[in-house]
Amino acid sequence: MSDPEELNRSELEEIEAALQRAGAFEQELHAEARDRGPEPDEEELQAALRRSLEKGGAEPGRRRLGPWIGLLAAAAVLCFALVHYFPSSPPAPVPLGSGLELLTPGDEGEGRDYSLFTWTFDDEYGYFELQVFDGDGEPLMKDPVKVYEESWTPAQELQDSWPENIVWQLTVVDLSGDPVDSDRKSASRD
Amino acid sequence: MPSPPSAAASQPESGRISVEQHRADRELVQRVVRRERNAVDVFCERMRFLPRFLAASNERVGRPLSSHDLTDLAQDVTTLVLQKLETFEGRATLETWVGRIGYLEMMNLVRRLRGRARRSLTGLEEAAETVEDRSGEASDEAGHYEKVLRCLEKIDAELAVFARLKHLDGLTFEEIGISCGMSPNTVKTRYYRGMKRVRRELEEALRKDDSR
Repeated sequence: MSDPEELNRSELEEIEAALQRAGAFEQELHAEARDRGPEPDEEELQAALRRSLEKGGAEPGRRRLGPWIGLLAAAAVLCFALVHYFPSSPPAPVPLGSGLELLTPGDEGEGRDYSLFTWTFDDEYGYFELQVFDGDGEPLMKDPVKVYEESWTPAQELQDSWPENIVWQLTVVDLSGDPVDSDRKSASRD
Repeated sequence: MPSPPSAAASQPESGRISVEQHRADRELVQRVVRRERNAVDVFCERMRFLPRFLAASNERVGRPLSSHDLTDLAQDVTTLVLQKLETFEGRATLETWVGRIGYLEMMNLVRRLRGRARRSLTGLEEAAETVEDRSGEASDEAGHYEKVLRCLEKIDAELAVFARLKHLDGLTFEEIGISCGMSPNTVKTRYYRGMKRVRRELEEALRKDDSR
């Protein structure tokens, strides 16, 4: 694997072999799943899924949110207040920590586009939550995306649907599920 | 009501997935999104596959998750699947699509549990070692599979889809062309372009592994 741009036959074969190896493992997993008998939680999960779909919105994992409902309600009130008082800007980032640096996309530099979101965070983390806003501070995705690495590539359809100027906000969530740092950055595309 | 396929009908025995199945699953999901009752019935029945798949996957990575963890994980994955349902494009069978989401979520959970145990100050050293030891039994194949899934996730969906369909789903260029509505030559061109990206991402993943 020497030339970064062109693949010769042996390089191609090497990558194809790697993908086929993954494909074979996937087939084995599915075969093993087929061979298994019913799992103890299968009925419960199916019933919850059905209820969720029939209600048209509630999610199957909702019952586990009980202890968090108060917290979520408080967060919702806070978000409402922020949106109400600052309608033209995204929700304020959590002012904690200092190890987070948002890299791309931004307003400067060559090849400005929304194809790759990258950042660095110096400490241990559980995951990141990323949301994108338009110039009026309106979120452009229904829910923030959960990302487990320091980069994210949005689907092409999403990129195409976004305006020329956006603000993206990243929240670092620790292993206990608590936000520990947050920052936002404006970006534009050519 | 048409009789729903059993949970066992997740993948054809041969490993070859028909383009028609992809198409049928896309239609099914579109009908589920519209909350058509028959489609919801079939969908719920087919999602029985998920706990079995997660249990099988847990076995293959050295059983780091308890049955309680697996139950929670199945709920979380189901929630995630419902959230993503409208993005299902029918470029894999429903079970393959859900399985990939579930596998990556499972590996994320394993890492979270491992990190949590490691960070505990007292009394949990033993638990930390247990989680570490058991997840350490994960086969090379399991790690390799995760690496490939994550690499393909990083790549532009329009480029990754051809590598995924060809090697993970076992389709020919002709079948991919039918599935994506393009000529086999166009498929090949995009496939080779995608493979360059796959190579870069895989190299990156391997470099990260080496530096650990």
